[in-house]
Amino acid sequence: MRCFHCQAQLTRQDVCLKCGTDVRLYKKIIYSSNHLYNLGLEKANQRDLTGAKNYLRQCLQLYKEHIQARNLLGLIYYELGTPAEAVREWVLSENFQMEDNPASEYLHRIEKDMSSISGSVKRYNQALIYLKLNSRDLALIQMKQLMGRSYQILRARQLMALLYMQDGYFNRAQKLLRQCNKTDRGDPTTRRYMKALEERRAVGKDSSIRQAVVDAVETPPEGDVIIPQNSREYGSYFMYVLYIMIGLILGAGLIYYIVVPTVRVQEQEKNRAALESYEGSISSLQGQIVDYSADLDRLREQISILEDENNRDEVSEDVFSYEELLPVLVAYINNDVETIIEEIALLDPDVDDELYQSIYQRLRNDYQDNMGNRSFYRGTEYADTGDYQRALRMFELSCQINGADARILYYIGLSHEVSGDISQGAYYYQYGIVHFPDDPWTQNSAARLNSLLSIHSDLTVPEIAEGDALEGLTAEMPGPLPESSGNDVIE
Amino acid sequence: MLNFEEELAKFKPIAEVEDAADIINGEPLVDLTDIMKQMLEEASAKE
Repeated sequence: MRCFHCQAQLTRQDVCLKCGTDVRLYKKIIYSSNHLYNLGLEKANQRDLTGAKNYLRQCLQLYKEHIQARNLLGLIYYELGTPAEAVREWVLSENFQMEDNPASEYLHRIEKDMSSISGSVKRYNQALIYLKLNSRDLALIQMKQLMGRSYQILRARQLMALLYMQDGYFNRAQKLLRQCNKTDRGDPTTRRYMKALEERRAVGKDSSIRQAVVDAVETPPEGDVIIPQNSREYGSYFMYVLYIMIGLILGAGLIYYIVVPTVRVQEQEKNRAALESYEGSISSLQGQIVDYSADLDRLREQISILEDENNRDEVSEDVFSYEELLPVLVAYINNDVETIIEEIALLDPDVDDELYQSIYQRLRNDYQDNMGNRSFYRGTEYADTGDYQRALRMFELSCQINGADARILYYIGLSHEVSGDISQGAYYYQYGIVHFPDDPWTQNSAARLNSLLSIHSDLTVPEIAEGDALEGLTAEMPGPLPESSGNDVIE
Repeated sequence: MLNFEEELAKFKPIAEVEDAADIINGEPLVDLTDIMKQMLEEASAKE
């Protein structure tokens, strides 16, 4: 103990040895506060938190810097569910003694559990607001949520017990009140509620049958959860299953005796209607068969008529084919070689007519054997009359049909020379000289070439090698005539 | 028998932890030793 004036250590003397201050009253105050703290601690150990709280508050009223009393009071506030007051006591305690003070640890812990503590307090306050607004259901929801939280509030349990008591759930109320009593044995509100509860139970046992029924239905003292009797539940399930089975059997019988015959009659009616429609379809199909038979007969008649007409068309085709031969035959009569060559190429080699094929083969053979010579002689006739243009065409036709030789090359060259194309003339002369050097007609070509070279000094002899193809033939030729298909050549 | 309304009226909102500072500041912290000191100071002043 230190002097309140000079903070010197006090002795058993009634005055301070340092400053001389009379400390008798001060010592009595401190001793009294210590005594009250001891009483409070004893009550706290007995779980009479209300009694302990009262002693500790008296203690602190005497001596506010009593650290142990203030810390214990904070713990009691915390346990009773008033954390703000607990924090106040610990903060003050920490201010009075900064070092080696358990209040610091208390504050640290409460800071860690802040969310849980604040949540519980908020729900309790909200429930109170709901109750004040007569929103009992919402209040009960809040209170039930609060009952499940880790941080419990004594006043909240008491309020919940009060609500249960009002609703007639005395066992639940009793359970909560027991919990309250376990937390604080000295709380007058808990005691008062328990007393009221006992009175209410006593009244219910004596006179209220309804209350007795409620008590019987309610949970036993060990819990407010109603534990159903197993035998009764199993029996109820069995009866449910039995009822369902009976219902299914009755339903099946109802379907078999009422619904099934009706469905069968409907099906028979449908089948009968379908049968009638099939019969109608069959009769209509039979009528169609008769019609089709008549059409078939008519078509057969038409086919025979068309076949007769077709035969007549074939005869017409034969006549048409014969008409194709006429221009060729006329050209032969006129000795018109050009027309023969042109028209013979237009003939159809595949006409299926024996007479036509005979004529065609004769014309073809004559073309291959004689048309080259005919062309040559026709060309000489034109040359004799001075018509070297037409003569050149005939010579070229002859050359293409029979192939090149010294004579035809000379005449082609001569026709070009006379027509004024001396270079082409020189070409054919030179071609004959190169390819047929021993033929007598080659001498004529050489003479004409020398004559040209002497007259035309700028003329050059074209370079032709042996084996070079003949170029420059301009007459249009039908080419070799095709053979008739599938017919023997008639010689 | 309990009167629910009367009992309910006895339940007051609990101060939240955040309000602890207001509680500390709002209540003068005076004990018997403070009163004693004041009395002694007044007595010495009179002397």
